[in-house]
Amino acid sequence: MSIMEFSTFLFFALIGYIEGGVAPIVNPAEPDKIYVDPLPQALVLTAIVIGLATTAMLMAVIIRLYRKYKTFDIREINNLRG
Amino acid sequence: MNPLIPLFVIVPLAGAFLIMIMGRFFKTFPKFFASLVLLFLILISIYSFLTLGGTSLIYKVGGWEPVNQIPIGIYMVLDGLSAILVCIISVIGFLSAFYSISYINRYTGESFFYALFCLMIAGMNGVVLSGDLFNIFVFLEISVISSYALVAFGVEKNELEASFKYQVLGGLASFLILFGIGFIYWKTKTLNIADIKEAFMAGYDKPFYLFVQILILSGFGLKAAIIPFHAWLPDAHSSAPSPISSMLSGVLIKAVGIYVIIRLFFNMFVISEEMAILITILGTMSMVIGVFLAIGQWDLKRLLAYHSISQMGYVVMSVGIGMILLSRNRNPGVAALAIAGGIYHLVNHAVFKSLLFLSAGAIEYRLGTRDLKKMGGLNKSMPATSATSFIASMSISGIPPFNGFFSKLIIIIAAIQAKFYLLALLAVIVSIITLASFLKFQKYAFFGKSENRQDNPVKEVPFPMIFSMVILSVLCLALSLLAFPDVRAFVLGPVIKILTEADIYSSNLLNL
Repeated sequence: MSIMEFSTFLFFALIGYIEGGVAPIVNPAEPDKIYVDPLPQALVLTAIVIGLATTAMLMAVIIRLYRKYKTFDIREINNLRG
Repeated sequence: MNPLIPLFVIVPLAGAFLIMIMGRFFKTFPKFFASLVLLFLILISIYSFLTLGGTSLIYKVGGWEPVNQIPIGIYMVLDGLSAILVCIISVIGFLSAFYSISYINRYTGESFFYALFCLMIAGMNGVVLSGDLFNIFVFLEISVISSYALVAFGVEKNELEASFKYQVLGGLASFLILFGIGFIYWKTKTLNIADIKEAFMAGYDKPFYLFVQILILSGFGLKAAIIPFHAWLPDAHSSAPSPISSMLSGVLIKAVGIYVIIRLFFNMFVISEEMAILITILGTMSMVIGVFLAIGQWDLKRLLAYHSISQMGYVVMSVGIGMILLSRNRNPGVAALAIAGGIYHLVNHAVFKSLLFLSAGAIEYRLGTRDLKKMGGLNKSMPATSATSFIASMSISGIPPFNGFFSKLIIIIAAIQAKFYLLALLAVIVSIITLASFLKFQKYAFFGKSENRQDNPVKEVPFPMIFSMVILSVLCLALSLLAFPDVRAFVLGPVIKILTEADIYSSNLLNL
């Protein structure tokens, strides 16, 4: 699942990339430079933090599950059916 | 600029932090403070609902004004649809928090419970008020992450397993949504919903557009538990503590699922006929399959959870009918009626389903079991719970004069007028099966013989629980007033206007 998330982040970074762009810091001396779109970077940063929270939460639950079931095999964790 | 709008998010967020800090020093502080926070939210939400009157209020976070008519910065929008959702969230939230005052005694870590509860409310308010696609995603994650934790609150085998399932599927949904947002940003170079609408109106290429719509629909469909995506819902809703089940089922799946689907497909995408048909089919499927899965359940809360799927199917189906009619440009009156029926049923479902979950919680609180076969004869020992759950059961199965009857009636009338006779017939049949399964619940839980409980008599539940249940059952009756056309025009009129005349939303936003 983490791999899937990171692929999305990379996708975002590619969206923002413009050929020959530089870091989006406006320099009044050279007004017609092409900038890389800064917004996707901000989005990815936020999404990474959210991904971290989700992964941490999932790990915490998995640890508690292991204490109850003594296994990581999801085929054996199947109390809830129907 | 309206100063009230950010309060909907800031107050519960600040409440959550205060609860965590103060809960260390004063044992009773979190209990009452959470209810107080939500009471305040009720007041401002009802105030803004009454003063809104069909307009939309906009708050620009950080005060960034648009440059060359292009909005920059994050917008928060309060219009008719958001106002209704905010009202539901705060009313149900307050009653659930008040109910938990006595219910949550069974668990440890009360301050965590109330802090997570407030975070969930803050996230949902944020989703509903946000006018920006990425902001919807961020607030959605806030509310669902706190709901993962709340589902696992009991830390027993079943709770943990349910939470695990919920998290994996929720993570998948978030991934789909983020991917969809990425694609939309790629094509339109903006994240503001109104601005995206303008970009899509100007033109788009068809395969890309369909792909994005499917991504978004399956992402939010997972959150809303529409039928092919429903696997997590019965586990999560039946394992959570009862006030949380009532929040999840009554509000969360609507605020982060149905609301966003409605908002995006009406106000962001240009309505296309094939998507409208797809949404209607999904809605009908959840309506029919949900009720058939429900009728065989013996676990009380699982039964209620499957009914949530089925009742959400009604909402999605009738909104879908409205979309089909709008996309064909026929019968705008009938389309408006169908959408009104859908939204009305959404409000009703929030009220009676949370009432049912609270009643189930009351039974579990006293008996310690959720198995219908082990109950019986509770109408003598728990008269208040029995009465409120009777009202809720009649309401969900569509018996007049309760609210469920009128909203289902409107949906069925709209379906007939739109010449979807099959859908109308299915809606009636599902309603009858719902009645059957709730008669089963009533029979086994409250009537019939009580088995050898003489040595350990069952008492009525404490006052805060009864209070919440009685208020909700009064609401069940009061909401049937919406059946009168005048009242309905006042309450639901702004919603219909914003959804049927889809351009209003973006023109409101961009011209300020």
